Amino acid sequence: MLLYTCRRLASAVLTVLLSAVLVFAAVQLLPGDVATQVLGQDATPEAVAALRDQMDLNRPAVVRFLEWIAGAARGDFGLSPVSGEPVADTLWPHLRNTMLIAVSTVAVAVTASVVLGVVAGLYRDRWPDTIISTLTLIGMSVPEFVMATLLVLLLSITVPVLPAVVLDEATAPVADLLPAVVLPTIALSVVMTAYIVRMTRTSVIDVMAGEFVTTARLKGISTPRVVVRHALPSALLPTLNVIAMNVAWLVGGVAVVENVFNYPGIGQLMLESVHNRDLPVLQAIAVISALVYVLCNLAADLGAMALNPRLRTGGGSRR
Amino acid sequence: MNTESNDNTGSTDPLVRVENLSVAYTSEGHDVPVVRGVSFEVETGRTLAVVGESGSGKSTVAATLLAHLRHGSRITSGRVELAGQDLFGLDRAGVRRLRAHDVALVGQNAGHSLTPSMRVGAQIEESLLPQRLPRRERRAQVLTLAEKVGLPDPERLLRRHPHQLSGGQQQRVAIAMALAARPRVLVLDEPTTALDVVTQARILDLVAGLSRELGLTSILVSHDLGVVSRMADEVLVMRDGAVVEQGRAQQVLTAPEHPYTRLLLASVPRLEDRGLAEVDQDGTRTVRPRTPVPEDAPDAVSLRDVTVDHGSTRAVDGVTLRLRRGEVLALVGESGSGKSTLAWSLAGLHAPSGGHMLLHGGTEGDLAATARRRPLDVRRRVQLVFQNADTSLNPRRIVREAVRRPLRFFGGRSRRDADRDARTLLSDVALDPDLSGRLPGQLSGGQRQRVGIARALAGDPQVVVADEVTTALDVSVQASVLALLERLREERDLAFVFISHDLAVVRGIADRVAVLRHGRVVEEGPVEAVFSGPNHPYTRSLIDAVLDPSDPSDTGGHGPARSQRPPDPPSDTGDDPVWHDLGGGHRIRRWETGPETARDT
Amino acid sequence: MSELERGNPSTPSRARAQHPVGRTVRTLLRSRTACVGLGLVVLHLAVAALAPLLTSASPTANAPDEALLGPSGEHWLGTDALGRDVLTRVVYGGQYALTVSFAATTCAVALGTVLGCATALKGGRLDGALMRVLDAVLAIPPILALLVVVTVLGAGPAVIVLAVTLVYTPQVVRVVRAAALGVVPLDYVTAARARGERTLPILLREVLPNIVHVVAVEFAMRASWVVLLISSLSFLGFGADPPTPDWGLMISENRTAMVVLPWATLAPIIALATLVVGLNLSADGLSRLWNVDRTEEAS
Repeated sequence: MLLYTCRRLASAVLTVLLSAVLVFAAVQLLPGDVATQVLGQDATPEAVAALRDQMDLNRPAVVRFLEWIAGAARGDFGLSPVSGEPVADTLWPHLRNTMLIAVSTVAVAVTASVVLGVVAGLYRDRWPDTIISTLTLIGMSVPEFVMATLLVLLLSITVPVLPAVVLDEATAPVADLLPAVVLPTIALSVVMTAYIVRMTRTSVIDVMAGEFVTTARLKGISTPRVVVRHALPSALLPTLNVIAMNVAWLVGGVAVVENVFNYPGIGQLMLESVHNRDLPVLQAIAVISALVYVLCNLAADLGAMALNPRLRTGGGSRR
Repeated sequence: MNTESNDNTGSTDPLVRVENLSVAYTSEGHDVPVVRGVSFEVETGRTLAVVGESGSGKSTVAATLLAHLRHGSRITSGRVELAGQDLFGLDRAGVRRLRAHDVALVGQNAGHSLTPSMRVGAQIEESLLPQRLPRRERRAQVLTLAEKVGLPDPERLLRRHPHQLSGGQQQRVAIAMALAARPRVLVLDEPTTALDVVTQARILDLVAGLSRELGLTSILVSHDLGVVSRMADEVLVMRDGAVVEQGRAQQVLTAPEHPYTRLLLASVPRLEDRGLAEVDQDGTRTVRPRTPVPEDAPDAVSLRDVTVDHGSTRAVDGVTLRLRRGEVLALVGESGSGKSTLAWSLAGLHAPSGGHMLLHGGTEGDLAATARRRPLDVRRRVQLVFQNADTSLNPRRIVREAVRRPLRFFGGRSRRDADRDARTLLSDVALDPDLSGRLPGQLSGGQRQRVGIARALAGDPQVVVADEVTTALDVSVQASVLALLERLREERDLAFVFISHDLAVVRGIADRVAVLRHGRVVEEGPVEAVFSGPNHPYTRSLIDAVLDPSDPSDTGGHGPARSQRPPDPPSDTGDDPVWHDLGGGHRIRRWETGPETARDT
Repeated sequence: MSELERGNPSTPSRARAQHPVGRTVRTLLRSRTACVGLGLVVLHLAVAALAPLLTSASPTANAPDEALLGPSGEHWLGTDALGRDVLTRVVYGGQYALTVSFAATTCAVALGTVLGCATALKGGRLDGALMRVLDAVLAIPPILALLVVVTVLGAGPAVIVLAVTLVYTPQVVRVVRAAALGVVPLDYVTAARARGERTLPILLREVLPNIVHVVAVEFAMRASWVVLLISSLSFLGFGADPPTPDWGLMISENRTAMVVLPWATLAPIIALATLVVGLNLSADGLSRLWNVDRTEEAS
């Protein structure tokens, strides 16, 4: 088990490093010169040369990558060529704001989806399932920006209870931002819940049809006991990984939804950087996203191991 | 049809009574009958065996005793009664009471029927909950039960999860779970089918002993007539959902009336057969003595000190064997003995890590290489037939394509010629060539296995490796497939490596036997010599575990197990430090005398 | 031979092997979900392809004097801020999203299927290395990766197809690999390996035919994701360029005037949602159909 944990940790670190290489390569090695990219096609050659100097572009890519990753490990992502300030200084407040949305979304979505998914699975093909599955389908089919737009129409314009647009700076205190968190959270939760509900439902149905659940039923124990003791531990295991996978989606969804609400988070920073061609900021965001994704997957795997005796006591293989 | 109830003179009311029971499931709006008009009664303390081949509806009947039907099935007529109470008239609470107190099930595969996330002790304890005992008493009960079903070191084992137990231990837990409810009726649905033969014998002894001790009424579902003869007082033979014959076990198994029962019984291979039994449609059985392989038959394959590793574990450990042209060499052993690994190495799927493996005869070559490294002409000379006919054929390719592919691959024949040859091959394996346009899903198991054999023959092999080819088949189909293999051996002078765990089958088809245990050959010799003994204790235990449906010592219900006394080592023969050489090619690996270490079942 | 006479095929249909296409169509007709879903998708494709025949108005020409009109006999869904007919723009609006999504999904699924099968069959170190790299790609959020590529290479349709392929191939590989790993250990693949067949014929003859259903479901699933992703991109202003009629873009353009002109926003929303519902229903229906088939085989 210890060996497994170590192997899993090593592989997580390796994945983050690989992602960093990919991002770095995509930004630095794609056709075209980064300095020109940043400044635009009509920049003067002198300006380009100056920026190349500033960004150390004349040294080999490998060296720059190693320096960059070493800095990133200490939380230093270099200077933004657009604002001239350290990337980290702009990044952290935005990251904090996004974490507000992300954490509340995950909390809402996971609770809602596990409950709904289990209900739908247990009442397969009966009315609770029909209702939940239909709502799920709609939730999956409406993009998050549409959901956000409709929520604005409903809760900011028709019934003005929540702000439609955030006017705060990124560095505003958390308390000021809290009302603005509600709508993005609802929009993202609906979509995320939809995906997790489906997986949970399928998993519950599979397990409930399994031989050991039938055996438990034939022992004459009560249905709630069959569900809670026998079915759910096995049924919820796969859901853990689905939740982790959804976090990757969440980072993308946040970008779009923040844009609808003008919420000062990572997503907004990301779009701003794309507009300004602020590549170092994009690199930093990409690596942090990758780190979050990998950490979630790691947590899911270790969680699965803790819950699954087959993994815990050895003799099982990875996923 | 013989469905009228038995004349059980001088007895009380039957505990279990099934009357004219019919069950159907609905498929695309049509009712498909699974059970048709089955009636039987079982008295308290008796064991009824429901016998039949796959698809006979026997498991469905057994499940109705727990008021359980598979999803989508329903009762179309008849009733199921326990002590006069109609089980399908019960409300939900009644059904729960029935399952918690009156009827308990032991399923086929405890590996699947135990909840993987719960400790086995907790699962047994759960069955005790309806009795509302104080916690301490309940725990004590669990321990008593575990001891009763012979779980070694119960204190420790009960805290384990199912996957940490062996198959036999899992089945013991399942039995303890069933007994915990103190049921009046025990339903045993193929309780030993997933187990090794030696473990099977022990579990059967356990169940027989416990039913006698606790005065249980049992319904045993089985396809294995040997198991039935060991356990049953009464026998009910089913086919296609209907009862074809029922009566006292002794009578049905020794003097069957219905031709189907006769066919079933005749198809069971026996240890005392000195050759392959041919079974006619009406159940007459003629044993054809084996024609011995000529002394001067040339070698087909030779193995010397072959070892095969799976990662860090050694699956085959220094095996030396030879196989002659036209000879059937049986590799015998339980799961994990390395017999299948050895077969796969021969077929070029897994390179051995040491030793020599050579092909002789028409084409010579080194078999230590994997298939892709072997020259085409060597590769085609060794062909494999698989155990599971369900997965050995590509479900998306019709039969003709399955046989045509190797013909074209090895022979480079034109599509037209290959099609013609494929039809010929299909008729060679006694399949109607008109089936060549069917998909494997539209064939029966036996037909699929024949296609698998035809595919192997398409390479024009010298050696066929048959890996448990009849294990998954019904007994009547098994007999016909064995007959086919025997005919092919004679017609084509083929050498067979026949892998099996069933010594009765081996007795009929093999010329020589090699017994494997933990990757080593423990005994090797001509079939006659091995079956007449003396033997290695492991071989002895395998032979003893074979259940013969008409063996008088087994009939009459819960007869005692045969002697488990390990044989004495033969008086010293030769001075080989590893082998006792008994002459005539019969040799036995020397073993430690003294008490056999208890096997982990 | 006793079982020759009995010869009971396990499937109820005794018919000879029908043509695969006919069999597939008949299977599809059995599922209402799949029918409705595929119907919706086909309807969208038809509307997009036949747009010029369905409406005579131009989707791009400005008509400032007709701006911001409500629904009327002439403009069923009204006009937008530049006086363009909303219905016309919605009818044309699928063209961009459908073309780009279809191309991108096809590329991603094709590449993913090949890689997934190959890595499942080959296994070993190649498999380990490939999965590691794909894990690293998966760790980067799709929209971010897309934005980076678009920033560096520009926002042309070809670039978006390439970027979406890059982003979604790893996920397809995961799904296909898992399905192929279920097939590879089966005996008929082993038989082909024992014959010494090369990897490509084994893939094409033995593995691929048995996972086509997984690939088909994956295609429908993936297409719904891609449509959503590409609309998001348009919504953010990185996809279709402004005069182009595109649903994502229309929603972004008109949402500020949503209170005045609800239809200008709602119509493209409904169009987009029905397309994605169609794709999701197809995926659902197909997977359930084939699942049903599999349970039938097992029983």
